[in-house]
Amino acid sequence: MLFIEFRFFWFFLVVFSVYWSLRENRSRKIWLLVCSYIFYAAWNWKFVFLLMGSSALDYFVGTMLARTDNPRARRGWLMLSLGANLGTLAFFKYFNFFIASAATLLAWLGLPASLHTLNIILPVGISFYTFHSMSYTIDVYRGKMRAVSSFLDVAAFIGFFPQMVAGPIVRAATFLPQLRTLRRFSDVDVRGALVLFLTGFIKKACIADALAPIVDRYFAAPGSFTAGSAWVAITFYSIQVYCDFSGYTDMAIAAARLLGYELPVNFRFPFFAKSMSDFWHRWHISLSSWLRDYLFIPLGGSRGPRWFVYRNIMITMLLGGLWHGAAWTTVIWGGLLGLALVVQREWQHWTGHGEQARPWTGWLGWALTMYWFCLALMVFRCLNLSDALVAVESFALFRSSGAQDLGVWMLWLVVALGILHWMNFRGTFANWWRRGPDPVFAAAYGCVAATVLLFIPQHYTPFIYFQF
Amino acid sequence: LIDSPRTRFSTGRSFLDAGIALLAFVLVCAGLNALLPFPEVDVVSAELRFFKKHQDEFDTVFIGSSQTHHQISPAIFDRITSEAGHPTRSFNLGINGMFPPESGYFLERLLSAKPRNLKWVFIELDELETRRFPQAEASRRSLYWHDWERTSLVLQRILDTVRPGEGLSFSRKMVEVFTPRPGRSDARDRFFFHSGLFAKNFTNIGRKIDLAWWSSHLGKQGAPPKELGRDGDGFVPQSRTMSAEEIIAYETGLKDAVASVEFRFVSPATEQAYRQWAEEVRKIGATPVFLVPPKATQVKLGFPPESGIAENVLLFNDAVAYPQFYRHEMRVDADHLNRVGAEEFTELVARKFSQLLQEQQIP
Repeated sequence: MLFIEFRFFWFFLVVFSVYWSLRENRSRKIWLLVCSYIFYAAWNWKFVFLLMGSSALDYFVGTMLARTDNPRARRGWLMLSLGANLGTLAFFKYFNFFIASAATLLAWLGLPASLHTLNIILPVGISFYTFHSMSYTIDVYRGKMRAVSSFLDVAAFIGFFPQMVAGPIVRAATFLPQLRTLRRFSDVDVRGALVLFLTGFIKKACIADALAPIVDRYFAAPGSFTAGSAWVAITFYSIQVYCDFSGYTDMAIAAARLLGYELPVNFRFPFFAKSMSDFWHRWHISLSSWLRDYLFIPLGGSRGPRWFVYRNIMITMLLGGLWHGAAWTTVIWGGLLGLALVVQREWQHWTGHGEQARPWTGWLGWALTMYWFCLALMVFRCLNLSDALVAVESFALFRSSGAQDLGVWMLWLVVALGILHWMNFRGTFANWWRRGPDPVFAAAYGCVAATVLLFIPQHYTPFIYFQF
Repeated sequence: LIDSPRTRFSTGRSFLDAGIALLAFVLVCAGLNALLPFPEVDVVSAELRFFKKHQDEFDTVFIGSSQTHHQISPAIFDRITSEAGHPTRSFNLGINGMFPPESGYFLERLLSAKPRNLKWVFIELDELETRRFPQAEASRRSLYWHDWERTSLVLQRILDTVRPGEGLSFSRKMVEVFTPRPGRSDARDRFFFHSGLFAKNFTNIGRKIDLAWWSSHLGKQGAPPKELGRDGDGFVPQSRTMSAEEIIAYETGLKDAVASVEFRFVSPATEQAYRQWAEEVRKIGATPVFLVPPKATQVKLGFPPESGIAENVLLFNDAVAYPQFYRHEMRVDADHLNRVGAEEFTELVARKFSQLLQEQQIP
């Protein structure tokens, strides 16, 4: 069930109505949990048990961590949680990738082996909910939060349907306290949530899905297109990914907000980033901060010799890349972005300039950041490494033997969207819709929503991040 | 958007605001629906455009599915009626897969152009089609005719199948459909399916492509659709021979069908639909004729006498009365005749029609 489908509208209407008509917090949480599992079961009911299992295990580990002060025992319980969560993720998401890579490596070493892959279905959202789940046990282990005595709270946190499938990746310490208190409808920013939902809907259905066919056409055979088409395709793909994912996030935050819960911000105008580190403070913030807190810092973070820090950055970014998909293209994508972070740090070290100093804060910094982001994204989107090489050559060296043309004129769309995005960045659209009485807002909302539907594609396209 | 200050909502007023939003939504959807150009639905739009351009050249049209499209030759029909002293100028508007109520929607679009010389409208008679066709579910073809009138007919037909003959009230039928019980899931599934298509059609989802098509073709002359056939009269004969296995299966099926032959009135929803269409046809001064081609099913459909349209039905799905159409040499499959069969069938339709005119059985 996608947020842009009609059936989600009806589903949410029922969830919303019943939720607010219940008076007890416990009843509401039970209702939310049931609805979350129904939401997940709409995709594949069998994997609801996996979700329940993950919740049960982490609740149990949290309880056991609370019962003992013995460091060895505590580490053991944490390892159990990490092992189970990462093991599940490794099996469902990476098993075939590792097997295929091992077979290729052995063949390259002259030791051909017959290794069989399995026909495994990737449970939707597994990368997200395992991270939600792990954040709970890690935070309890670190003493950042107390273990929760209610299984219902842990299960409702991990399974909370707006954020379960594609984030934002919510920390237990952020969400569990919200579950403990009874939400009041009078505290809900209904108007803000509705505008946010519609904004997300427009981003996903009107922009991302409209660009998808053009992008798909190029990446199906990058070698047959001109170099100019490579620029068109990657520019469109950047916008598509952003609108698809930030659109989903907007709708998730809005849906949660309508139920009285706040989810963290996941995007802050990443296309205005002036350096690669700035970019990661603006793009998929919940993942980058998760990786920072639960991987980069435990590895040693920014402390220690330069090469040690650079190693930590590269490990974090390579694993971050792998998180995005079981393919070498995503690993290389992570590596390229990690390399950019290393180069940026090295540059700052050499010049003695800080994060805010020139040229990183100026147009050059912006242009370099966007160029490198697009180059890495080119590799990310390609179906295999040979396609990636062709596409990167076309994009970076302006060299292509292909003759088909996507039409550079289509870049005017980018200019139009860029102006809109810039106006939003400057706050042009920030609050005007808050003015005026509620009935006027309601009527305008109904009119805009009806008009927007004209511009969405006839058929739904799944969210890009669902596959992660 | 996210960190902006909050507006307080009172629970009571929020219901009123929701109602206003819903009303505005519905009104804008309805307004846009009325203003948008006719959707571009491959052969349907092309045939409608072609007919509208030439509408005053014809006095007889045939509307229906592939059984009309592949089995009625306007050239032969006109020759026979002319020989019988009732000359006609006919056109075959049969389209593959066009069953009622889609055919009714198509008919209404056709009549909305008010063709001046139209005298006879042959409409293929069948029960309202409520089944789901997986290969076409996501197509615009399955969507465009789901207006309120057609959708309510389809939903009514689905409800008609719930404990038929027991005279259950509408609300009781709804409860029956939505109560989880063995054998009800199909009706429920179809109910949701058609309701969903209505919602999608009413809310104009993705109709920007119609605007784009309309603006890019403004003032341009389109070529006649290839579905109109070699002679451009809408007749496209088929020429395939059934395999030995198909012949055995066909003849076995036919034997069973003949053994269980029955005559029955159409369902109330179907009757209502055909009555409405007959009324529309009469409004422009033409006469409706309902036609059942020689298909394998031997269920003889008719209208109750009080319907007012019972006399205008020409039934040909009778393997005993018309054995010539049921020989496997005449068919391409269980439901369609080949060229020879189609030509013979058209001749028979024309003769029967002329005879009825002669005897003034058709007003």
